[in-house]
Amino acid sequence: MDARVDTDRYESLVNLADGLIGRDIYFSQAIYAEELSRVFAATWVCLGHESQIPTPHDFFGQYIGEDPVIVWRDTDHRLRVFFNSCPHRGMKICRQESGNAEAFICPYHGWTFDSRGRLVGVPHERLAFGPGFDRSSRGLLEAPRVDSYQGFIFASWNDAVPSLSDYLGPVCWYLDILATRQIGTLQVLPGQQRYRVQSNWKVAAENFAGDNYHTTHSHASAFILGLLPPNETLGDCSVAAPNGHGIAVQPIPGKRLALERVAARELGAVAVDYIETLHQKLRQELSELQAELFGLGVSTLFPHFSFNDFSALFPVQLFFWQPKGAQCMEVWQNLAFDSEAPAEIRDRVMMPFATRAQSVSGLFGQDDVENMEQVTEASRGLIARTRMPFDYTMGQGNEHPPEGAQGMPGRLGPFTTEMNQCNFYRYWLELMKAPGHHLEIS
Amino acid sequence: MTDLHLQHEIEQLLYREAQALDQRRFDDWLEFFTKDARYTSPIVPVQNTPAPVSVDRGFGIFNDDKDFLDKRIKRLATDYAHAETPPSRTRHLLTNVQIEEVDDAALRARVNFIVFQSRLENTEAFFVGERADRLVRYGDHWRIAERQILFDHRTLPRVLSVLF
Repeated sequence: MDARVDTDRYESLVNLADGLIGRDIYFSQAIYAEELSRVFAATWVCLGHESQIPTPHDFFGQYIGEDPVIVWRDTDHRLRVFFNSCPHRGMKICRQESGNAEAFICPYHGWTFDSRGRLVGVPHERLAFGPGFDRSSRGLLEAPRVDSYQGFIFASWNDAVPSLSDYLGPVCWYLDILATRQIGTLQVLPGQQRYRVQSNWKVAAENFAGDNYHTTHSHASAFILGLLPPNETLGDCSVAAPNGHGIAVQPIPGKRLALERVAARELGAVAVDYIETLHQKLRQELSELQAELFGLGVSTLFPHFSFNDFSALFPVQLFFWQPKGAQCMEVWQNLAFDSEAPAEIRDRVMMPFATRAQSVSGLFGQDDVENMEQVTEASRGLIARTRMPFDYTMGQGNEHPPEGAQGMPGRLGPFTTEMNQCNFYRYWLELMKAPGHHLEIS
Repeated sequence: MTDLHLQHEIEQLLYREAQALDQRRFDDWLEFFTKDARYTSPIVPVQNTPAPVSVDRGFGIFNDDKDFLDKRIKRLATDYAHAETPPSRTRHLLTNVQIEEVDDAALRARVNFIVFQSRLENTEAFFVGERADRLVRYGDHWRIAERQILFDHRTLPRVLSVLF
């Protein structure tokens, strides 16, 4: 079966002028197959954070699309990303999720690869392959582009992808706040949640990019139980950036800082001192505006990496929406926190709540996944595909940011809008229509 | 060797507790726990020497105290527990009950479990693992002071809207 989809069809499916997106882009297997090549193989993909592999030979396993990769710090401290499959007969050479290894030995025939990806050992080489066997052309396949910004590691299979800082654009300014607002450095904590969700990865990614609208209803139980502050205090605006990135639930400058100070006073002197120290550090190392902004909201960095940053007194949560078919994803989820935060804050306040809130067992996580799965359940049939596109019209004609948001980079919009979701699909459409970068199946 | 009467008593207690969950008598279920109970489930990464990550220094699957278990139950009584509305059907199967470290005031009970969840029309999941409880004696009955749940899954089959 020819899985190619006519590129004109993407134009009609993603009709941003009218705010309508056909459900096929989420749930069609043919479009999904195109997407792995035109999106995941064509652009930058976030894989994790440098704090996960601080020393030479540290590694962790990840995926780019559905391809397993090893993110490995080499002998010279350089970050490298390799296809996790032996070039000989395809065995997965790294089967642990993280660790430290000077070399990987393929379990199948024993080919051995060092942290630069070079083939350095071949059992019975002369006997099996004879003289003239060329090891140098049989190293691990390496992603040609690997870079990090403020510790976040990205890779691309596309040689021609623009620089990472160009790709992130105005998002860099916000990531600078997150990275600087630490006494030590932002550090990913041990333990990664992994769970399957029967939905398309984009349903989660677009939610984190901009869906400020669902919170009061989807998560109403959390408001009723007093687990969330009132919705109007959570954020004020939405920020869209080129290349599909979006920041949702973003407070205006000054507001977050005021809330942090209130929360810190309830916790005591250590927390009060902590918040003031971080504020001073932001003022010294960044701008007054960034110091006043103090934090980010909920963000998606296109395509499939999201994080939230609700408070300096709460861990940053990282989410990878791993594609596993048109109607299935795995969620890989981490916590990150200031490596030098006072132990009192680190141990008592945030850790339990992170597990109880937006997590596999958390009250927010459960209800989000119910939405994602039942959207999928309702979208498999004929009527869904032919008659009922999704509606993204919210905010059209009313894209004015709130008072007080001036000066923040990116395109600013109101709190309740689908501007960021449309921005996400604008870039998705651009990639799906541009055959220049993607990998063809040969 | 564990006293047969005690073995029977603890098994019956754990079966009654499981039944309370399956019959969705959650207020009754909470009564099986002490006021200061901890309810945790650590993550075990895929490594050559697997070791659970402490929920006190990393991310876990559950990290609850009695107050939060109470909030989970109260949430179900709101009109907004979407992940459990309509309610899931569950079946808790407990086997291999082993009683250890018995003294007058406390003991440890280890069980294997399969929890089946059937949700809405066609959503189904099996959760498999081991539970390690510490029970303490209050007069003539026992209460659960600690429960640690170790799932055998590395990738959980779905979100956890049911209790273990």
